[in-house]
Amino acid sequence: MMINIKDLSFSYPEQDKILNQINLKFEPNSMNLLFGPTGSGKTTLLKLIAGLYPKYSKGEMSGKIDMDEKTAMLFQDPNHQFAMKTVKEELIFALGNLQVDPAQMPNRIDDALAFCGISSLKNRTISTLSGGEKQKVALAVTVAMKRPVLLLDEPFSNVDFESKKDIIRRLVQLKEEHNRTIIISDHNLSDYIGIADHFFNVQNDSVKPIPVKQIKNRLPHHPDKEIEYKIMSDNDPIINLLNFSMTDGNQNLIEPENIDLYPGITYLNGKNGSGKSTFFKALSRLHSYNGVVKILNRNIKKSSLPFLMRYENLVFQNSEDQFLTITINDEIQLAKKNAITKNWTDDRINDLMEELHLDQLTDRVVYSLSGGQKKKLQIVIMLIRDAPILMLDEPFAGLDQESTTIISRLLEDEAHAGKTIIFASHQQTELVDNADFYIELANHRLTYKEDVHES
Amino acid sequence: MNPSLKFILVLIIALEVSFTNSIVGNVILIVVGLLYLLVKRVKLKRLLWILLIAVIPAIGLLISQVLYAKSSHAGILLFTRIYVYVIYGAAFTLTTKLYELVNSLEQNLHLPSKFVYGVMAAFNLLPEIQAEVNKIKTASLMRGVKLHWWSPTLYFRAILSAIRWSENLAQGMESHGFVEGQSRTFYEPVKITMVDWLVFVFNVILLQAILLLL
Repeated sequence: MMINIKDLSFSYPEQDKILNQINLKFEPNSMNLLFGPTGSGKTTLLKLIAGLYPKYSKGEMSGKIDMDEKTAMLFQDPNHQFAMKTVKEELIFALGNLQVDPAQMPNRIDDALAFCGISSLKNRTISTLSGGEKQKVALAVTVAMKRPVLLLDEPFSNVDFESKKDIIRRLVQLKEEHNRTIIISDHNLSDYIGIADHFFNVQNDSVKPIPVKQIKNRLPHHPDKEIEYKIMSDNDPIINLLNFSMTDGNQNLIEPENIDLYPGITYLNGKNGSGKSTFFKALSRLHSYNGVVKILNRNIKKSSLPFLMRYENLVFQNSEDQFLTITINDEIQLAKKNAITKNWTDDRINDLMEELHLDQLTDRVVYSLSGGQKKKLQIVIMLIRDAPILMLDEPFAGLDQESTTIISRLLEDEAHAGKTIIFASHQQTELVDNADFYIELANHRLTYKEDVHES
Repeated sequence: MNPSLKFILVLIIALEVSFTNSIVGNVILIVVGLLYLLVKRVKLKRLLWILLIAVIPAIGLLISQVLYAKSSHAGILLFTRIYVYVIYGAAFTLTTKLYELVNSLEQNLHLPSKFVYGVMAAFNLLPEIQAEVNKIKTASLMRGVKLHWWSPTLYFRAILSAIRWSENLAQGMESHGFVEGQSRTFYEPVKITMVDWLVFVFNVILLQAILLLL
């Protein structure tokens, strides 16, 4: 299945061309990796190949994409891409669309779920799944469809490390045994060395093939190392959990537990669906729990919500949840107006916006930004707010290496200045290496870990 | 019974009841409807709750007819009519799964699949709306903005969320192979059986007997 792109250009309304005169071939039976800074056009290119753009955008396209087969695409945002209630119903829906013989459906569904390691999710209601689980379900749908071309837009941004390695291995198998063309966009290339056949850099309105050798040189050096974390602190705890437990409605996520959280950086790690997001929501009173949660010695159930939200803020997994206005500039102005401290001066904000390449976009409607740009803006406005406790749910999903480094450094500075940073992430970032504490959420327990071997 | 036929039957009952003036007919229909609900073992608490809620408009109508139109017959008629609507509405909704209805509407009544799956997706999102509104409120507090139920920003954000959902959903459905107007295969074919037809015709005739003869 050859995909032949000729003189392809695309621009969104009132913006410069995001892709300009692209000439590109994707060979049959190949795994291709797209990488490049946030907002460079990776999603745009994938949606053009999928035939979703220009139909679902107001943009303008010129040039041609030649291919004679159909595609299946997985979206970057795991939410709201499913029409049906349960995982099984969604798979039946997709197979029904392809006019698959109903007698074959059960096998295809079971195979696809097993492929993604999520057979146990078959009868679950999709809206109750975690972000990472939804990504795996979306992947299972694309696998079940058996289309010759698979387009995966940052499929692993919320997926735990082990599952990612496992699924990549199976994708290779799929490619080789079933002759698929697979195109993946991802910011983390190290998992694809020796696996992907071609790498393409999407940057400055062009798409350039990059030899694997050069890719190796670009990778950040990650030696095998033992990282040590603290399990005790000289400081008083800032959050106390007393006899704390929570469920997701069906099953226990955390069993009754006493645990304290301290100022500094705490890395919360756990597999997909273990309950990290729900834990953050419980601490923000967006999810029910049993037991007592004290922040600065105040029971949060007895504090008023507006009061509580001056002490703890959450950077949501889905960036759009955090936006209240229309343009980037409006969001920044609102953040400045309602900042708890005056630590963020105009100069500091402007420098940061420039560093994150958001300074040229201030008039843009926030919803028109790329996934990574939204994430950066979201973190900036929550930093400006400057609450003493900042929880971040997958803050690095969709971010390129440069932005990840900048944001890690910023969060470290905040922690040194006395702030409490608690974050969950499946990306191996500097912030993981430099965290003070490491809490693992596994087997329904929250446990401090002293040393973690990282490879 | 086939969900589409059941749906049509309930519609016919509602329509005919609107045009007849038999209190006895209404009462018989109410009793039959209640018996059906009990036989189907619906949750009693839920049923009682529905019946209780309907008291408010029913009594309102009764009082206004008795006081202003000076007609206790019209009052009781409207009172019983409301209960026929409510009980048959419950008889339909409490005994039919949305998934089955939608499958049947698509396969038996041949409604456009775009409509069918659009409705389905919207219903599946309903439980998320309450959570979404709470999230919007808390997220705003984190930005230092207090949203009340009358705040325009709350509605702006909620409507925006809905628009984003529908946009994402349209693309999601298409990427999952959905093409408007293209035929589909069905994992669970829904048929209208002979028994369904017999039950349907029998019920319609019975309805005429109750409403016209009494």
